[in-house]
Amino acid sequence: MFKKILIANRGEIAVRVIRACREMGIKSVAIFSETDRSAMHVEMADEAVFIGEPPPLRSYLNMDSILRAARLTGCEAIHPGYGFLAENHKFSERCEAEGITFIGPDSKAQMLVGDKIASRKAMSEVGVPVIPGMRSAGKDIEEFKKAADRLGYPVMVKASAGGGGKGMRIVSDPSKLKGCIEEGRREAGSAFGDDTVYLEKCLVRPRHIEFQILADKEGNAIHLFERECSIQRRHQKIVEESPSTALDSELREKMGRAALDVVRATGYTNAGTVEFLLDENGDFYFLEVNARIQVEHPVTEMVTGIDLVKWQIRIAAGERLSVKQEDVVQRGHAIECRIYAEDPANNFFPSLGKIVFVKNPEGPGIRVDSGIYSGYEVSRYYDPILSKLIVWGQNRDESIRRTVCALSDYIIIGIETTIPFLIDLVKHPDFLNGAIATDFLERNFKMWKKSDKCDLLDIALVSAALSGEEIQIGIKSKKAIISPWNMLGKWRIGEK
Amino acid sequence: MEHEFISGDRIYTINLEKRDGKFKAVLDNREFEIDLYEISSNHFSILIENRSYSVYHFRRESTQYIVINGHSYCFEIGGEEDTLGTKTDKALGEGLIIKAPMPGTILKIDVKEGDTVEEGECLAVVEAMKMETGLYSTVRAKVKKIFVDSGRQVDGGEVIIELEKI
Repeated sequence: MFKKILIANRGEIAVRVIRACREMGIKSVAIFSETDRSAMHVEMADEAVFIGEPPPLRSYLNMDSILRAARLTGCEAIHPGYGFLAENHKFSERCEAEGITFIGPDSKAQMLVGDKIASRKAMSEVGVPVIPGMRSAGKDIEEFKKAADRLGYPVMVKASAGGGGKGMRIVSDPSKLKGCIEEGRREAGSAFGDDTVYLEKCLVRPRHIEFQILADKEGNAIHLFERECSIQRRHQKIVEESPSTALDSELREKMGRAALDVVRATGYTNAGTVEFLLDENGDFYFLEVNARIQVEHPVTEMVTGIDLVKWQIRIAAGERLSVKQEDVVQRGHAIECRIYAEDPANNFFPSLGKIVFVKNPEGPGIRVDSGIYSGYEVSRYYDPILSKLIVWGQNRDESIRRTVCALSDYIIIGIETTIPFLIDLVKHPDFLNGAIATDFLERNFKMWKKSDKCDLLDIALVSAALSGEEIQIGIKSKKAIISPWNMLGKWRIGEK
Repeated sequence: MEHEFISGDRIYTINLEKRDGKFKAVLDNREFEIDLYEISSNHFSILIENRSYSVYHFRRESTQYIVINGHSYCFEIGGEEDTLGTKTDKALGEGLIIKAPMPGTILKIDVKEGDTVEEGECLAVVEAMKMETGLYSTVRAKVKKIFVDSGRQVDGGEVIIELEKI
């Protein structure tokens, strides 16, 4: 087993990996940009190395700095987390060349699954159904137009190197095709350094169902059942759960087998996710392989009891996968809510600034994977995910009720977050009935506003006045204070 | 002492008095007797008619945030001339001043001065946190002035486009 691992990431996922390292007796090394000097992953790691300026290209995407940090601290392996360099085969190649183990699939498998156009081809060859679409990238707009006409609108513009919804556009109107391709190219280019885009037929009201897999280097592979990830905005998931209400045991088994076919066809090792779209007729199509640990991995950990990050590390170290397919069972129901620094009432615009106070929810079946604390400053340079609330219950009903309670107990003050929106979301009748598809938010929450209509308005107003009263007493000698809490010390009402 | 808060289109006035270590609040002719215990600088516990509420509070500039038992509220603070002034300006400029919602880069401006724009039309695209976001007009209007060129870095709240009612 490795003695020391560098975690080439930040935020909640870096914290998650450090936790696994600690429990396994492995030393952890964090890296940080100027902005992240006091970030939680830096505090938690055994060692921390400065790697550059805040923009990702100069820090968390800077391969030279990261590899230098690994050499400097004597790390034997690098865990890339998700995003940043996680699916960059050039990075894993460089790790391989330097004799540092990259915790993930090898660069060859990474390259194949990372290229959506090539992986679609590989899947059709082994009989896994794929969504009708272009077999190669379009050279000019005419070729895209022809392909779109052949597939029939609506079509989806997708980045070949894509992930996380970047570069993706739905086109329903032929006149918008050119603009959407240009936008998609620009976004893909800046996110992945590769602006190749192609078109796929856009399925109407599909569900997004994915299967977690684990595969060792000896050819043993298992799946750990599905995650339902249909609740998305801007093609980014916001609530995930397992099991899915859309699968019966027969379909579940069929999709699980297909996921393992994908693993074998690509020679994939380590942890990965096979994404499918499921249409209203129960037909499913291969979407892509996510060659990394995913944001929503805790949902699977909660229902199967298997620690995916630890298995990533063990497999990378050459251990055999000792868990057999028949050992993996789904127990109860888990839901994950992603807490973003975004204003849900304002088109999910990023909400930046200092978090003045945080209180995590507690209680049975509640897990919080977080990268924030009171006093943490949300930076404009990185993904706005703050933390994830994962709730387990004996069944779906219990886990939904528990989620509502836990979200209500989750206090983050100083910036806008998705918490109030998530509370309304999980209480929506369609969500309660499990009648969800990828258009759920668009359909039901387009003009969502925080509701002030509540019995507690009076209490809130009185509290606001009390809050103001404290300030008034406090600033007797100082006028025009903009943010009194930053300038005043602690004091208490009622004290002379 | 009197406090004013604005929520939606309503202004609420609360009169607060301190007597024998307890607070008395009057809101819409109703009286509340409050026992307050401060737990930390952003958290107090209050008892009103023997009911207990855990209140988290925070004030930034003219905005007051309150979270009680999982419900969050956001009020504009009234009562001072400058804050009321801002409020009025806001109403006058409803939808006509297009500001950058956050710090980022202006990727493109889709309109030019003098153009007529429809409700829901995309005016500009801002990029921040690796996401592109469109800024849309909420009204039918004429483009009066464009303040920034595409490609420029902007601060949150910086005015990008001014529209004119037609």
